[in-house]
Amino acid sequence: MFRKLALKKAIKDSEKEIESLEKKRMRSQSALMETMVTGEKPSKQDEEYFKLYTSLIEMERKNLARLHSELNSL
Amino acid sequence: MVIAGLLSAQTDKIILICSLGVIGLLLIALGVFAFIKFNFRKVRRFDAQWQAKRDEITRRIADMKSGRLKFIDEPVIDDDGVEQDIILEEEDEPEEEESSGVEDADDEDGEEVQKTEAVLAISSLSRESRKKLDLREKEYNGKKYTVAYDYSFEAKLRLSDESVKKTYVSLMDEIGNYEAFEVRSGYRKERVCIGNKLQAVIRFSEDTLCAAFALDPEKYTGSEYGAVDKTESEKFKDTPLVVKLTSRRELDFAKYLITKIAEANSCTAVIQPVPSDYDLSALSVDELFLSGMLKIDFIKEI
Repeated sequence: MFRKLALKKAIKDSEKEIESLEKKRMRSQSALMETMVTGEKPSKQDEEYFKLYTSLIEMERKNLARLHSELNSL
Repeated sequence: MVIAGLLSAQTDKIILICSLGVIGLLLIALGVFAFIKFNFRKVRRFDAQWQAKRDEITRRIADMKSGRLKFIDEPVIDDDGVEQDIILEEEDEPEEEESSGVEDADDEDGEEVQKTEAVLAISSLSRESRKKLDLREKEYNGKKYTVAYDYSFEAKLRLSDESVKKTYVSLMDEIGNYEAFEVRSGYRKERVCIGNKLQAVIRFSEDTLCAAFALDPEKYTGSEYGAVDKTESEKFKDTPLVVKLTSRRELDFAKYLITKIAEANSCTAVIQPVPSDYDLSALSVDELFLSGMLKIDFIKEI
């Protein structure tokens, strides 16, 4: 039972983390979108921020999937 | 009287039982709390490989935010005219920033970092090291990992033979004979400067102690001392004359080159030089890691 509760809490934490990371990624994402619309060359810094946050989000999503499957198997 | 005595004895018993009961309940509550806390923590953890990757990305983001990682927006074209993907430019470590004017920096010289692969049992690490690596005892005890050790210059020196240590101390004493020389320690090498001008670099090339000097290689190579001209190497562009310190003769030659640099810069010798007292005792992996002389990269769990 405790394990189930702990998993549920971890899932909630993970979802919050993803949400927070997505918010952080938003700034570089908008900057990149703007350059796409205006046809300018995107800033390397924005690109790098976008890539780094995306990889963090992907990692967190994988962790979330692992937690979900663990919860379902209980 | 007898009844009063019996009642008093019974009250004592009741108080004792109640106290024991309260203590017992407290212990159970503590146990339940610890169990829940442990389980809650255990679930949230990533495995070590993911955690290491995550930490690396987070560190990179922090570096970018602090301005330690800079970007070049202009395309970088290599010798073949191909635009390169790598656009990151890493600045010096904060302590290196003091040495403005000295362009040579530890990780900027294009050098491939030498790492030593080893098997690390987490249980062999101290509590402090595990804390530094964010490895929780209950979760990681008994686990083993293939790791890559990245030794600093000082760590290599401490782990080297006594003869290498003696060579280093002898060379440093020679440098210490001149007031104008300033030795700046980096992670992979030590720089010897006069003002902000780099004069020599002391480092390890694989396991061999080397000294590289900012002197004209044409004047000194081809001699019997085996100095090598590394002008073409990007790594040694500022200090192209390289001497591998493997014998007494090569050490003497390196000392001679130091006197030549001192002469060229009109440096005055110290009247009564005091030999330096270096603590170069060998340290364990744990001690090296805790003192920042060793970096550990986790590769995979065994």
